[in-house]
Amino acid sequence: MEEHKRFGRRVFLKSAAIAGVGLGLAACAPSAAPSGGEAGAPSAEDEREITLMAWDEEGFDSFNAEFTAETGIKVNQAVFPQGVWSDVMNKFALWSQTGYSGYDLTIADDLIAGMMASNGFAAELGDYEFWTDHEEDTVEGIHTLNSVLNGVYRIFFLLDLEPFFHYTELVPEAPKTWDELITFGKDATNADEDVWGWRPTNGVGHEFNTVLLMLNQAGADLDTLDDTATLEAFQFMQDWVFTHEITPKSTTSEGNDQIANLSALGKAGMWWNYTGGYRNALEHEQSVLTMENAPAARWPMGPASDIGLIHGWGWMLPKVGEKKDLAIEYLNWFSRPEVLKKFIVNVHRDAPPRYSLINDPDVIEAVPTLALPVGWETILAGAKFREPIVNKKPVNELWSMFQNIGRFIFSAEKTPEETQQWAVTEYQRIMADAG
Amino acid sequence: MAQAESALSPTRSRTRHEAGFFAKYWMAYLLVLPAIIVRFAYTIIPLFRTLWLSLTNMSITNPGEFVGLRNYAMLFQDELFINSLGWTFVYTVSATLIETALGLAFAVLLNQKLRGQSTAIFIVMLPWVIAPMLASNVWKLLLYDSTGIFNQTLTMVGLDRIPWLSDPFWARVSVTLVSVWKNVAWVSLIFLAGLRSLPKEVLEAAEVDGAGPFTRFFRVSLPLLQSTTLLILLLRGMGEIQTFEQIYGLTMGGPGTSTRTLALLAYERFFTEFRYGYGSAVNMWLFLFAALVGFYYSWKLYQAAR
Repeated sequence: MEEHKRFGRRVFLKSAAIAGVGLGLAACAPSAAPSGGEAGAPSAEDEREITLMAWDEEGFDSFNAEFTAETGIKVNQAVFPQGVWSDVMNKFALWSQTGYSGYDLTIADDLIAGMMASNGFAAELGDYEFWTDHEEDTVEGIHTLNSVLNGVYRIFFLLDLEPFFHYTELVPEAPKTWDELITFGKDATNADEDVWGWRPTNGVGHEFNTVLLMLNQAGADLDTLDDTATLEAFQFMQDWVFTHEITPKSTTSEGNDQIANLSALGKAGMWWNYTGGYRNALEHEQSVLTMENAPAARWPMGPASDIGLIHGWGWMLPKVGEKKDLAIEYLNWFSRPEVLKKFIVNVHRDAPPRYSLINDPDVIEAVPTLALPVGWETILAGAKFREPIVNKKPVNELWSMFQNIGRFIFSAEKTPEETQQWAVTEYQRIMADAG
Repeated sequence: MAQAESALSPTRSRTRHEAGFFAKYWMAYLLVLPAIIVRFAYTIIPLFRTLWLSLTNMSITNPGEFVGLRNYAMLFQDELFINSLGWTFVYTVSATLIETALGLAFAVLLNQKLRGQSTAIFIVMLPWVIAPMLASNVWKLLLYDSTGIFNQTLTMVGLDRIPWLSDPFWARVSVTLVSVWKNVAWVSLIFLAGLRSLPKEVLEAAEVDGAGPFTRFFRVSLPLLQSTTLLILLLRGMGEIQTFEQIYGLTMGGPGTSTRTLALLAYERFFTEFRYGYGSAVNMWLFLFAALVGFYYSWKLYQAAR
């Protein structure tokens, strides 16, 4: 009875009233969101403000402060969503579809930009000076990408590659052919119990890269996958693990960080990783790698080619952005050679998208991977963006399809023939659904 | 007269009775109204919205048209769906049963009046309070083929490494074990509460009648725990069908598609591929299975209560 009295109707109503007051106060509290957000009409000051979606990097604030000092336009930086790649894509898709205009410019790679551009969510930038003034200086792969996308949807500020690396203690010379990859891989695998000759980056959503690399090198018909070259590529990949045993079964779970760690510890004879992953491997505290004993090379020549994959990051202008003029002003400033150089040297040390900067001594000093003996331009030559994924409307479905191809192959859940059969049917279904 | 009128007109009488009922309890209804509105807004409407979406071909490239049951028909031609369905069933049954059996065993041990009981309960509870995604990432580090602590230990004692995450069979075992590790704490807690609420007189009477500890447990305690067991099977069964974070964090459904459950497939179709119509159809199946498990054990609970 006493218990009942302790929490009777009166007490309940009092508690509810207190909770209501609390909620009311919270609702009336001043917004912590940056001004110019959704919480009211923009003031005159807000109108000279833009919001960028970009990585939260050291030095970015002071870099943008120079833009503010020069133009009087304040820059707010929203943190680019991090995490599992599908989640990142998901956020951009939802923002685009719901018309969210909380950001005026965003960084985007070829997958995000492909999805946004193909589905009409990104603005075309081909007529602006920040593109036309530097068009000729821009690396070849970007032009190829723009031509298959039928427009310029992104102003690149850095390039990332997926180069082929080898550890000279285990693989003294880079293999020049697919056959040599197998032979050298076997030698390296036999050298030590913990060492695997060939560790491609496959886990945590990277299978599609390996699949595309091999399809390109095999000369596969990327519009149908219904040819012998496709089958040859699939067979080649599955043989790494199950016939020649130069690649561990764990390749299915080894993502770029894991490959960086394993290669740093000398556990890989040959591997591919992003240039950022390579840098991490060099900087690993127990690393046995140096730029001398872990050089990059052209990919081993497949039946049709030895090209690698290229991707990169650039600025993309969402169509729903409400401050296009200010965003364009930012792009004009950012694209100036001296500003772009400063960004690469001081903020994000990665390869620039312009030939003039690739060979700039200051840039080379800041981005040591540019000084790899083989030469950046040699690695870049012929490299393709991740087509056909990034240049078709159903980017995400295609990405998922190529992921599944890799999963089937590297787990041997399907034979190469079954994988091809599944891929051909799935590809047709995806393209038919997309109209 | 009033009685006669009531007898002649039962409908009118019921209406009056209902009016009286609402007049008496209007405050109670008013107080639960916000909860009903919230439930309606965040459960009922999305459920019907999902059902509607599942009848369209909406995707990121398609604004969506009504396609009737086409998505449902397509599901049974989608081998990834069929594989996921099979694995979801196996995973749900095995994880639920292992969790229940182990949880009961832990609860019995924790129920013993020994020194350090509170500490033991705290330790057993720890996995339950760890965020699922964090737990799966930690387990991933432990289970890595080359650098994982488990395999390093096996190598040190001269045993072969186990491909915990890279072989379909072992990946399934790993996923199930991690799920059991995570959830057995909660099951133990519920069983412990059940054990502590058992009527002491019955257990003492059995002891006086000469029943040993095993007989007392299997013949007296366990039957008395029937409702608790059914409740656990109900909640864990529904929970395991919908498991997402642990498996996503540990294997992302791989290797291949060997550990891809319906929840992962639904996520992939809806949120990764943006096939909103088709993904919703997978979600409706997921809902249906969870509801079936829920109805079955709820019915058993109802019967047990009677």
